[in-house]
Amino acid sequence: MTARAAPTPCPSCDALHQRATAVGRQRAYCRRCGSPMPMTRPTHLPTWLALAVAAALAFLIANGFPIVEMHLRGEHTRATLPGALWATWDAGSAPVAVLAGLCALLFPLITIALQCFTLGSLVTGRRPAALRPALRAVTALHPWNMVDVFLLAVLVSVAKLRGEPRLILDAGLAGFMLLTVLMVLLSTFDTGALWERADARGPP
Amino acid sequence: MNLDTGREHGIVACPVCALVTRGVGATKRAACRRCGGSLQLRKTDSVGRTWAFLIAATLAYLPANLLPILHTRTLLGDRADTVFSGILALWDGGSWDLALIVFLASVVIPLAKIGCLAVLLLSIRFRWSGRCRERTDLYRLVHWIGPWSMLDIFVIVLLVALVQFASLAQVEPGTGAIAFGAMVVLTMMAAQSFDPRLMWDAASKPGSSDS
Repeated sequence: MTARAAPTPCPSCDALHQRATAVGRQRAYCRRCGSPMPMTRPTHLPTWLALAVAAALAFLIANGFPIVEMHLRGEHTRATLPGALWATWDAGSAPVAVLAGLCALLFPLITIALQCFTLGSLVTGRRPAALRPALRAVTALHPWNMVDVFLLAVLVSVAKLRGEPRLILDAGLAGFMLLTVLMVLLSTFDTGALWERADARGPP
Repeated sequence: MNLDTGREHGIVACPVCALVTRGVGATKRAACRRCGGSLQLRKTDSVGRTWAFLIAATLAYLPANLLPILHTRTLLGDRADTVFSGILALWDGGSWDLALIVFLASVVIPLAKIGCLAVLLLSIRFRWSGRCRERTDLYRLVHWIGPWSMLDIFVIVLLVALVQFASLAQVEPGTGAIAFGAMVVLTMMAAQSFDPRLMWDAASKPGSSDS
């Protein structure tokens, strides 16, 4: 039977190490190649659930409110991400709209929803059948969440339109900043610990 | 440094749930007890798949930079911008910092990613034994930087929405934008399919050439 104390191979060079438990903000690195090694981290699930719920709220603010507004001679232009995706689709470039929509909108939405679901289930002591597929989906989606890249794009666009008349930064921008920070934090979560808890509460 | 490797002992950490399993064979297909994820000593056909993605990404790089990425319609006329002409326009307009960011994200980084992965693949093929640690650092950098090339796509989407001054200007993505998006996705998949452990395997085999 394998236990958590079994030697762990480095993901970059395969050298075996003993998996260590992190104290505070410790990090572990491979002795051979220097790559970051996964560590066992004490996980307080309610804290992480709170972060996931906060991320959900940030997501709603980021996409429900305009990121920027422009006023010109009585004309209002309000830019939200869904609105911008629709405008791109309408302008005839559906593939671009789909690609951007998946990476900046749909995948982050699914990830946050699944994180709330999995953390919420485990915190309340439940182990629904959908728990395992949900955890696998979060892992699979991870490289394709690009909220932080989108935020940089917003900052670049805002800087580019700096000289334009009556440019107003709106709540959506604050929402995206918050969302970026929260999603980055959530991605550092020790998923192994989640799997362990998922294992402990139900039949194997 | 000679440390035991997971491969020697058939030890694999599940890529999905991190559970460590012993006794994984090179040919048998094993599934993780805990999550059902597939356990392999090395990524399946890593070298072949990575080359395939790289070649496809290179084929997409050319139209991405040569075809227009943005069309701007104003009362004064139409303008089709490629990545390069857009950078020049930013530069001429005084925004040299934006020009630099776009140049890095859209021209330099994708090309550098493709070039670096190609070099890393060749280092496996020719069994280089030196600078393994640096090559691993390079791989992790390439892997990390991948999503940031999507910057251009997001900027285009935002510009389409923002530059909607009624009857003053209209912006449309060009065909180059689709090729550009495809290139970013393909380079990311190339980095994901590459297995850096193969470099260490090749470096430690007897008879490898010293560099």
